[in-house]
Amino acid sequence: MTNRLKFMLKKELLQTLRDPRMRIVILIMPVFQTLIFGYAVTTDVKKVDTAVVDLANTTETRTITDQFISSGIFIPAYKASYDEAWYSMDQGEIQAMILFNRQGQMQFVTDGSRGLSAGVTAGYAAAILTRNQHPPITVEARAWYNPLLESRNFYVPGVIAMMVMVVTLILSSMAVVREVEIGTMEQIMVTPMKRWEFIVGKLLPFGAIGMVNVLVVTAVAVFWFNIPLQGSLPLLMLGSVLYLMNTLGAGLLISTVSRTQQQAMLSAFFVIFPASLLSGFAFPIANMPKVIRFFTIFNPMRYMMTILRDIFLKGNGLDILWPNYLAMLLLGTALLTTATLRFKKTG
Amino acid sequence: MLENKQEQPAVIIEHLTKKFGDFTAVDDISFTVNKGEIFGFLGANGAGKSTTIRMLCGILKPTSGRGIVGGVDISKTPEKVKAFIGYMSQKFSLYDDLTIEENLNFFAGIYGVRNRKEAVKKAIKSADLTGKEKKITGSLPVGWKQRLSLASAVMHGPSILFLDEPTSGVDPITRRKFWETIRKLAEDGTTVFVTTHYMMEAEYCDRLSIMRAGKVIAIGSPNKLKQNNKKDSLEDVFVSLVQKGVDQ
Amino acid sequence: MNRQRIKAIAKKEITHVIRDPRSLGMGLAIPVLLLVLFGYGLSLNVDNVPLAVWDQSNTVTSRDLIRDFTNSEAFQAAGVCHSQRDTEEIIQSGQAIAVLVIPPDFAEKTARQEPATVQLLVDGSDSNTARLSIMYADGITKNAAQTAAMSIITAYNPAMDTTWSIIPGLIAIILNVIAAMLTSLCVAREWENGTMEQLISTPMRKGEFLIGKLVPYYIIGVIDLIIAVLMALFLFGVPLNGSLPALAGVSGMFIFTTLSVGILISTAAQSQLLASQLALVITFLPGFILSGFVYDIKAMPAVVIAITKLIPATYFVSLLRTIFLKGTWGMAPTKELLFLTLFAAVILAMTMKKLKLNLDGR
Repeated sequence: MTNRLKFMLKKELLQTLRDPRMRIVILIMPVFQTLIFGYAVTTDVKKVDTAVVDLANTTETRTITDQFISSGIFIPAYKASYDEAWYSMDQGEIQAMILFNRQGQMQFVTDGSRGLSAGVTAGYAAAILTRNQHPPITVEARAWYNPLLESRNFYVPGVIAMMVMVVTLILSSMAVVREVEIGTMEQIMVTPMKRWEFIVGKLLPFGAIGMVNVLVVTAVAVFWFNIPLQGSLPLLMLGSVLYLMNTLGAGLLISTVSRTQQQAMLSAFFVIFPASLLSGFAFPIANMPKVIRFFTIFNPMRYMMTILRDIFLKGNGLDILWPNYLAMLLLGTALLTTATLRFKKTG
Repeated sequence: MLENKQEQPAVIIEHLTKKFGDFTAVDDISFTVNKGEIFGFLGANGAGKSTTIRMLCGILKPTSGRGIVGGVDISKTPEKVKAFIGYMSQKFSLYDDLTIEENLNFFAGIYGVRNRKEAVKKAIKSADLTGKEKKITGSLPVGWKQRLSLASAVMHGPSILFLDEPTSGVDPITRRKFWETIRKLAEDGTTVFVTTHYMMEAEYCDRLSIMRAGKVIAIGSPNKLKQNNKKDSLEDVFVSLVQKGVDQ
Repeated sequence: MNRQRIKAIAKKEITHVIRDPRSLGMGLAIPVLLLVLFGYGLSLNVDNVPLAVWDQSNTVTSRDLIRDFTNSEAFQAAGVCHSQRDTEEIIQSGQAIAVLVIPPDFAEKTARQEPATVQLLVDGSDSNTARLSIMYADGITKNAAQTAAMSIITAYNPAMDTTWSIIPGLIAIILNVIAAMLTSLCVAREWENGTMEQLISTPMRKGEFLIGKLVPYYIIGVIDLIIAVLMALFLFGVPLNGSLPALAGVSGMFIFTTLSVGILISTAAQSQLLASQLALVITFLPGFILSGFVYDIKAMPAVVIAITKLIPATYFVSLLRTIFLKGTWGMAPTKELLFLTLFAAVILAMTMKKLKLNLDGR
């Protein structure tokens, strides 16, 4: 490492971490958010407030209602009429209805405005309704890797990828543009510092911050949420390094094409938002239309998401995951190269 | 001119002190500035000149002591001071991405200048920027920027004007014009409070004060300062006074 | 309050915005692009789950069952296994998410009308897909899940089209971030560029400063909103069952609330880097994860539910869904609107307190 580079690294780290509020935002906040999100990310549906209107009121209808209630998922609220029940749903007081007409025919209604949970609620209802039929074929299901189907195990590792991108992309996207805007860039340009030294000096500290984030959030996942880390930690770290190449490269690229910090911030958001939503974190990539699935090929977060989840839950190794590593390496190299070339021109 | 003191002075400072943590930037200073006076403020870098000016403008709270500007107490109602002063800060602080005209229009609006169009036109003329109204401020040379700043600071006809190193980075011709403007303003009754590093400029002032390490170490007219210190030039006065502090 | 001063500040701020057409363009184009991308791209439905089969029975009956699976919308064929090892490998590699295992005695048992059992091995790492796959499999084998006597109805969204519930939520999430980002730099920038020093030497008051700053961004936010709503209605065919004035009122209040959050961030941070970092950290992930956009708030623990209640996006997501799909405007939304107003008031009060028109806060 050259001396100049050392000084550059030191200056960047000092500048970034001098403000105690900045330290909190980039080092403490991710931990805090992971803790909260860890509890929030569940696709389970619990405590569905359910209006029950039973106009038939026979043994049969009461038995069915009891089955719903005893599942523990549906919390009944008895209503006298359909109108009353619908009114409650309009008001958002209930999320489902069990309706029996005078002939004892049943309707189960879920609140379809609630997205994902509406479908899950309907699924539960169907399961309860068919449970006491004795069909010729039963399905015995076994879930691997996550026998209790804890949604937390699936989502928390993914939070790492999002958090790291949010922190490092913003930092690096404002890095160069900030120096230009404040006017310190001119000063640096006249020093004998080489371009690569400048870029490495700029990015490496952010990379280090990103790695600290990965480690800390991983620790929260493992020790606080008891999510088993089945695979190898070094492999996870390797993935993180490649992933950081991408977020920092993209940030630097933004920085070289932005004139003001405002432009840089908006551009960064313009990258972070689609990258997160098209990463498979919450919305399965397999369900996306072909064109959009094609776009996800260029989304490094998609590969990081797979790596995180597979290493955490399946314990997969490089033999299976190598295409993801390779994709991130290629994308990261492309981003960093383009950014460096662009930087030459602006400089 | 100095004898014309029936009215209250424009600025009264009594035991004014400003501390930033352990550091005392302005250390118990007291003096007065009369109406219509050009009051020069000399001192080495970091002597406390800008801090004093900022306190007098109501944008920095004194730690202790009293400052009365135009009859208003700067500690109690700083916002009242702001209505009748003009301030030109050391660092250029107009909007780089606005045009000359837009900058002036903005400040005219903020100060509630009447006949805004007229006033802006006049300001542009006085700054010698006619025909350049639509130029983006960020692209202007330093001298033009300073002219624009001054024009903007006096547009609303302030009775007291605070200029913090208005001529730094300005060519000699522009500097001379600057001082013509300042003198004209003073003749019209404006009190001008100005800091500078140029001894030539100090000579133009009615009275001077020299600061060192937060304290006022000398005050008086340029001639009086020269006599008192038995020097031929202000520069010698300044160097000997400030040097004394370094030797101690 | 001096109207003329507010006007001067607002006009200056608008000029800043116009002088930076790229930022303005992004401020307007980002919501449109994101809405198009996600409106078409995102679906919470799980269908075409890749299913591998290990058919130990290998009979007409078992092949019929397999066909029932693969012909359904829920599953698609993704390979054949011949051993336990095969099933493990196919799931581990991600080639299949579920494996249907049919035992050797399946055909005989069915022929004798005895209850037969098939096994479904699922990749549990994606708990959501796993759970839905199990449900689908259950449904397929039972076949007669919906007898004449009962039916399952999805209210307000009969076709169970998830875009209908995603789009209103998405509008909320996007506006949430965009609005906060628009204002998050506008005060910090003045401090960083030194223009604040000139500004605070003028008789301008705090309130005038804040209102003047908010006006231009409010206009941009409203334009964003109008574009987003038009797209929801005409591009994605989301019905607007509620009233337009209700939509306008709620959204107007929400934009104001979020702009205020941005301006508080900007005032407190005083540096653009910190401000943008804060704006994104505070608005994006919480809006995405805690607002009820994806995850059901009722399933969260009490402490987290309490936190979701402190996020304006939570209210906006639920309000937009209510207004678009349910078309009601009753007691509950009033409560939510009240919260947004209160929230904005608190944020602005904090901003007034944080905002110092002198250099002492530096």
